[in-house]
Amino acid sequence: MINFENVSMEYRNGTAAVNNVTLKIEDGEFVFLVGHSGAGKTTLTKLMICEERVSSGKLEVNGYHLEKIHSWSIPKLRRTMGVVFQDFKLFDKMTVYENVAFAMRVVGAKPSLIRKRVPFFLDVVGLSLKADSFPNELSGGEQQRVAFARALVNNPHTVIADEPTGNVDVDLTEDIMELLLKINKLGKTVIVVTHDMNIVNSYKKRVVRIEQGEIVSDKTGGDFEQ
Amino acid sequence: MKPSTFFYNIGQGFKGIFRNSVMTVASVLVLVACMILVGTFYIVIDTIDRNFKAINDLNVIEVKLSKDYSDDQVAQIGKALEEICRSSPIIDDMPVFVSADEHGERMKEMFDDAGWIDEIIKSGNPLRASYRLEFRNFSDFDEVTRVRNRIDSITITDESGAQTDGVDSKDIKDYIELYGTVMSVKNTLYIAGIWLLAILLIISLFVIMNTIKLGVFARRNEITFMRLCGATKAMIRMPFMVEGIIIGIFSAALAFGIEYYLFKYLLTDIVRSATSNATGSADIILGEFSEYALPLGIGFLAIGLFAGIVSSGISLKKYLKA
Repeated sequence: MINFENVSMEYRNGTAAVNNVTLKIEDGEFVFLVGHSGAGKTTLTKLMICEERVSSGKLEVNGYHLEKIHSWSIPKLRRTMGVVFQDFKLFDKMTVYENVAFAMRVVGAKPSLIRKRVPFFLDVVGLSLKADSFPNELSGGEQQRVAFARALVNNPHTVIADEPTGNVDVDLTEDIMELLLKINKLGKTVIVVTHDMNIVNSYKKRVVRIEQGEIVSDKTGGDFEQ
Repeated sequence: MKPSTFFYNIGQGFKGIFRNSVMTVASVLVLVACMILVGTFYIVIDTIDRNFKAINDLNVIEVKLSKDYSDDQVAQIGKALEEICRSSPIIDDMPVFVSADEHGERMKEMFDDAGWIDEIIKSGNPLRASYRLEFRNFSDFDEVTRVRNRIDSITITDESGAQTDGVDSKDIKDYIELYGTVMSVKNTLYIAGIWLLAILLIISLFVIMNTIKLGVFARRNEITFMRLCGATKAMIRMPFMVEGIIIGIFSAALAFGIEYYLFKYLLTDIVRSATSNATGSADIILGEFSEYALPLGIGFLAIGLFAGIVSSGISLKKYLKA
């Protein structure tokens, strides 16, 4: 569960990025986080993974209270989350398999577990045959799917996808959304950060809109304006 | 940390070494130079110490007694010296009386029992008896000078019952000046060694830091990803720490090898050629390398590990902020 209670966050220069946000996302929910560029979507996700710290209010993420979390607990919190970055953050010198395995290695997973899980998740995202390819040999959509496999491989509780359809065409957008829904059906909480209202309207899920660091609407449906 | 993770990180550390091979070589060279200089200073200082200790009479004041003194006057001087020894904080033992005959024996020993010395002594020993005062600590020059002045002012009673000067200042033999010179050379070398160590260590730290920083910069995306994936600071730090440690250990091993050759083929030769006397035996006592091996090995390893760990720690600090 993710629970924001009157959360505000301002940068050192005094700029308020998030202002008095109250938001509750239950386990297993699928939520779109929408808003214009600079609205505060990314800051909100950064607060969830503790890349930024809460200035005031209470924030609970998967059992961790982030307003008072100690630095040594942050890695544990992050292991409950899988993040798919907008720019994928794949490593060019690693193969697809190694890219996915790397996410497990860095959290100290056993090699035997890595050997079991990586092929499984490559299968889930449909990239079993590309395991030995390097990222620059893949299409944008395939790279995106590697990023998803990597986000899933540590069996996170919550998956956050930051603009997952930002760099892909319409067909691939659908593929990616299907993949996210599949992940959601596995029981994971999925948070999709996007400004593409066409996708939002197509899937009729819960939509949280942020403007200037504040939540201006929070409803489920499919008739949202651009 | 699981063994698999440990070995994975060791492997990553080795990869890092080859990622910036030029900078790695530069780091190793600077560190090796630092270690060799420190090691050489250590050997030189130890050699000075060793030779210093070998000169037994250096921490002794010898009071030569006039041949004209009666036994009673010699005893008076002895008592006065005992008093001086008791009151001085740098003298533990009472003065030792060395007769003229004993001095003769010593001289004979010094000249390998040369018969002519025996003849001279038998025909009327020209050597004088003396008192020897041994100092525990010669570094307190003020106290040594005080003792010397007190000896110089000892008075004795002559046959007429009058007080007269007991010890002529030219009969007080000491090595204060020599001791002072050697000590000041040793201290200068010691201080120079410490400064050199500090300066070179700082330079080494900067060079290794730059080497590791290049690696960190090349892998900044990996580090960011690792952090966001939930890797602990130790996990992120370890490959770079391993890289620093490998540089440190390799430099220590290289420096040790070079120091061995320097000692065996250069230092020994220099000392031999500079100090060999007519008989071919060296006047300077030089220890065996095996005696220096352990302290040098431990010292080099400590410098290497310190430089490696500290520099990798500093290089990563910026990237480890949660």
